Parts: sequence; structure tokens; C-alpha cells
Amino acid sequence: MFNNCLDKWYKCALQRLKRVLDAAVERQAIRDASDDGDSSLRKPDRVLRFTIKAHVYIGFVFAFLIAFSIGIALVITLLMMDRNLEVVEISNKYVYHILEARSYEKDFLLNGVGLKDAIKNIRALKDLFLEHYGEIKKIVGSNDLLSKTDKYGKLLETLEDLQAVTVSSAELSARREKIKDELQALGGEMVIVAKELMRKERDSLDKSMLLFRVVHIYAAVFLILFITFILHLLGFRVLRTLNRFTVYMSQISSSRHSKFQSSSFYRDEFSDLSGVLEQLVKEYDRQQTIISQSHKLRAVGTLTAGVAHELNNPINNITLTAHMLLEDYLELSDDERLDMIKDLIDEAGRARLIVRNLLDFARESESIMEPIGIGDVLEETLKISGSQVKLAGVNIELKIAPNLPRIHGDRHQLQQVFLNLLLNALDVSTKGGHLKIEVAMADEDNFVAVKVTDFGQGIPDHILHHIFDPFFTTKTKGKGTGLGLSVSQGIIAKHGGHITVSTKQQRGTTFTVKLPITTIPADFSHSQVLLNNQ
Amino acid sequence: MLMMTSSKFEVLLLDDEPIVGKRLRPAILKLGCGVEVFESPAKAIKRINEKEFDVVVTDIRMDEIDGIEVLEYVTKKSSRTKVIMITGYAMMELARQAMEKGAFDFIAKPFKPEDLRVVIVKAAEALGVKLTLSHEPQ
Ligand SMILES: Nc1ncnc2c1ncn2[C@@H]1O[C@H](COP(=O)(O)OP(=O)(O)O)[C@@H](O)[C@H]1O
Ligand SMILES: [Mg+2]
Repeated sequence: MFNNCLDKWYKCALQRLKRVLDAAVERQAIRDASDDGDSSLRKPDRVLRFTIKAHVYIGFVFAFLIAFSIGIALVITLLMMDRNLEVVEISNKYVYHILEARSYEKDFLLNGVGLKDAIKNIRALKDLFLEHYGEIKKIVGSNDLLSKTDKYGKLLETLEDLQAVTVSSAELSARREKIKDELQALGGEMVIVAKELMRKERDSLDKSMLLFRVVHIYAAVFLILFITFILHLLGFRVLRTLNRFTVYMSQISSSRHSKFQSSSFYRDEFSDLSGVLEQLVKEYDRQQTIISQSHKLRAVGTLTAGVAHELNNPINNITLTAHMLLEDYLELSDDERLDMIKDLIDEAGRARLIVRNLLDFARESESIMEPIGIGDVLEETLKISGSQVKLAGVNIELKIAPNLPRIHGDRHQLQQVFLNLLLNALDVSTKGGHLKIEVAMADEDNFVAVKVTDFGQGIPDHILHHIFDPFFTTKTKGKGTGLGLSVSQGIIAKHGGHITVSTKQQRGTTFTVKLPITTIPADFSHSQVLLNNQ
Repeated sequence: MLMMTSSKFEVLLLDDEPIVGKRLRPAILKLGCGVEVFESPAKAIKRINEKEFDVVVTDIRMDEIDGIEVLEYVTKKSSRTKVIMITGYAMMELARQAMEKGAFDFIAKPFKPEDLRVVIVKAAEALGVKLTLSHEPQ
């Protein structure tokens, strides 16, 4: 849920960014166009480039900015707290001085001493006041306190002056009493104000302390969340692409070639990598085709001996018939002549068929995937190799289960596979021996299986691991290329199937090819193919 | 050496290709000798058992029984019978084997009827029989 949200948000942001950049690119393009004419060449390259590097940098810059502003916020709250503390200290001093002054005042009133000390305290208070005038004024809000202090100080001074006059009179003492009363009232007020001041300052200190703490906690939480988010986006992007690569790679290794789906929004390092990979796969495919073709030609070479032999018969028949026709032309009846000409035509047709089968097979055909009957493919394969089989003097037992579903595949390539297996089996069969080819549903669901069984010497264990390797052969130089099984395996993998082998020494070997059946309705796709071929 | 009349000179022709027998029969008949044509080696061997032929012409490669076996059978049965092998392309090895086993000569497919007649005439000569074509080909 949260992830989804993030992802959406991220994509949305990317799209917006893309739009902005696109606009910039467009502007650039227009400028380029006015610069030179061939800017159209650059057009296909319009997909935005947003590299992982840029992603990391942007994430880093954002994280840095946020951390920086958090730092500033913390410093500000710290400063605020500092100032509050200072003010609290001032107000503390203030209260202290007032209380001190008042206690001296009391002393004086009771015992007649300490007036000097009271005055000293009030002076210090005034100095403090003047020194921190701004702060105090801001808190108290008026000059009230200052004027009160002033007044208090003056009263004390007057009292001192009066004290200095030794002569006592009723008027004087009355005045002194009055001042004393005033002093007391004023002192009380001042204490109240100062205490109020102190309380306010404490409150504000508490508040800024709380603010500091809250900012601190929120900042930490936010920073952690943000960094997690950035990392998540990056990780998500990298991992998702890696996953896509994994899928792509496994598809390549199973030879089902597909195109790598890189993000359509932007290009990055992964797009570069996938480009290189695609190149690599293409090159690999090309090499594979070359190997496959060269092996096919080799197989054709093998077949040619058989074919040449097989061709001898119709050619011989034609030679004999033509010569007899020539020799006896005048003595022959029309019917006999017609019979001979018919023989000539038939035998020529027979020769043509033999050659055409071989040429069909040898032709470098591009791969056409179509729904085909696997039984037909095997029958065709046997036809191609018929002369070779005859030459080897081997009897082939072909069993095709009825009503097999079609498979989706390339007829020529599959012929090549079965021919390879057949030629391998012929190589280990003795004259007069026999081979078994069975076509049936596989035990695996939705697969058909073709089993080619020989009764030769089998394959020893130490060789068994290598038989599918390219260029691995145990045959003499002229006979084996070592490509047959490796090419066959490639072709079968491309069809989504697999080849397995089971062998018993001195008993024989069975190669099993399993191919997935097609799910496309046969009639429909078949008529499509026919239409295409026409 | 006993001279035989040409009409008594007997040739057996064995090839599993029907056209070979069909076309070669009149060609060999023109030498003035008797010809029996077979497509199946088994039937031919049965006939060889019944009758001694002067010349046996056999294809070397057939499905059931191959020409080498026929050759071995004939030489065992009658040492004076000349066996002519018909070989295919690139079967020198088989041909050499056949010669070692006592074949009179071999002839490679594709051949002309005249080629075979020449070899048969040579075989007849070896048997002391003079065969001539009843009329020359144009
Ligand atoms: N039916 C089989 N019986 C025994 N060995 C086999 C059989 N099929 C293949 N092999 C072994 O596998 C090797 C590789 O076969 P392959 O790739 O077709 O190349 P090649 O036939 O050109 O040697 C062969 O050389 C042979 O040793
Ligand atoms: Mg092979």
C-alpha cells in the first residue's frame, strides 16, 4: 500500500520532470534546427536520459538540503533557548537585587542601618536594567519597572539625605514616615513585578525547551523517513531492473529470444547495458545460425553419398531404356515405345524427387514457426535419409501414435534435429540391425515425445557429459563434426523443448526429444500459413 | 574345350529394379542366348538350384539378400558359372571384395546395354563360347 503510493508518487514526479526536460530538449532541438539542418537525425534519440548516477546525486542533494535545514532549525531553537536562559538569569538577578534592597530597607526601618547597602543594590539593579534594557522591556512591555526602580532609588536617596540631617523636627519625621510608607508600597509592587517577570521567563524558557525537543525529534524522524524513501526509490529502481534482467537472461538461456523491456520513461545505465546485451544476443544468434548451417551442410555431405547411390538406380533405368529405345526404335511397336517413354518420365521424376528432398533440406531457409504434425516431420526426415538408411542396411521401425496434437515449430529445423539423431544412431548400428523411432504423448503434460532408440554400444559415462558440447566427437575427422547434438539441442531449446539421453553400455541408446504442443487452433493457423505461402 | 551352341548359352539376370530386367532382356536376347530375369534374390537362388547357368548377372546391393551372398552361393554351386556384378556409385570396396570372391567382372551403374553385352561376350569367351549380336545396333 505504502509502496504503491510511493511508487505512484515517484512515477508522477518523474513524468513531470520528464515533461519539463522534454520541453527543454524541444527548445534545444529548435535551437539546433536553426543552427544546422540535420537535426532530424537526432530525433529518434529523444527518450529522456535519467541515469542512476543522476538519481543518486539528486537524492543526495535533497538529503543534504534537508539535513542542512534541519541543522539550521536546531541552531535557531538553540539560540532561542540560550537567549531565554540569559533573560532568566537577568530576571533572577533583578529579583535578587530587589529582594536584597528590600531586606536592607527593612533593616533600616527597624534598626536604622543598611540604607547604604540598599542604595548600592538599587544602583546595581539600575545598571542591570540599563545594560539589558531591550530584553527586559520586551518582556515587561513598558517602562513601568524602570520608572518604579528609579522612583524607589530616589526615595532611598531622599531618605539618606534626611538621615544626614541630624536636626529632628516633627515635620521631618512626618516626611520620613511618608517616604517609608511609599518605599514599602513601591518595594512590594516591584517584587511582584519582578516575580511576574521571572515566572514569564521561566515559562518561555520551558516553551523553547519543549520546541527544541520537538524539533529535534521530528527532524530526526523526518530525516530517517526521507533517506529511507530515497534509498527505497533507488533500490526499487535498481532491483526492478535487475529482476527484469534476470528474466531476460533466463529467456536468453532457454533460447526464447525476446526483447529486453527497459523503462519507457527514461534511459539510464541499464538501457546502455541492455543495448549491449541485445547486440551480444544478436551476434550469438548469428553465430549459432552459422554453426547450425555449417553442420547442416556437413549432414548434407553425409547424405550425399547415399543420395548419389540412390540416384544411380533411376539414372541407370533411364540410360538402359533410352539406349534400348534408340537401338530398337524401328522394330518396336507404338505401345512398347510409349511404355518406354513413360518409364523415362517416371524415372526422371524419381531422380528429381531424391535431389529435391536433399536440396530442400540443405537450403538456408529462414525460420518459419508454424503448427506442424510431428509425425509428418519424422516421415519427411526418413524420406530424406532413406538412401542413407538403405546404404547402412538398417531396418527402421517407425511408430507414430494416432491423433497427436500439433506442435508449433520450424519444419526444417526439426528435420535437422531428427536427422542428426538418426545419423548418430545409424553410425552405431551394424548392418542388418534395426532402429526404433516412437512418436507419442510425453508423460509430461502438453508435450509430445520423439524417442530414437538404437541398439549400438551405448555411450560410456565419461563421454556422456560431453556429447552435447559443440565440436565434441568420437568419430574420425571425415565422419563427425561434433556439432550434431549441440545444434540439435539449440534448436529444441528454441522450440521450448528439451533433449534427454538414456544409455546402457552394449545395449543401446535412446535420445528423447520433448516438444510442447501448440494451443493455436490448428485449422485456423494452418490456413493462415497456407495463405502466406501462396 | 567343348563348344556349345549359342542357343544353349543361359544367362540369369537379377536386379531388384524391374526396369533393368525389362530393358536388358531383349538386349541380351540379341546375343542369341537364353535369358531369365529375376527381381527377387530368393527366387533367383531357387532357380540357380534347379538349373546351371553359364552367366549370372546380379546387382550387388539389394534389400533381402545382397549380391555378394548370391555370388558366394553361385560359386559354391557351380564353379564354371561366371558371375558379373552390377555395382553402384562409390562402391569400389564392395567391388574389390566381389572380385576377390571370384566374380568374373563388375559393371558400374549407370551403364549402357552394350556395356553389359560386351562383358557377357567376354565371359562367354572365357567359357569358350563365341557370342555375336544377331544384328548390329545403329
Ligand atoms: N546413438 C549414439 N550412440 C553412441 N554414441 C553416440 C550416439 N549419439 C551420439 N553419440 C556420441 O556423441 C558424440 C557427439 O555427437 P554429435 O554431436 O552428433 O557429433 P558427431 O556425430 O559429429 O560426432 C558422438 O561423437 C558420439 O560419441
Ligand atoms: Mg552426429
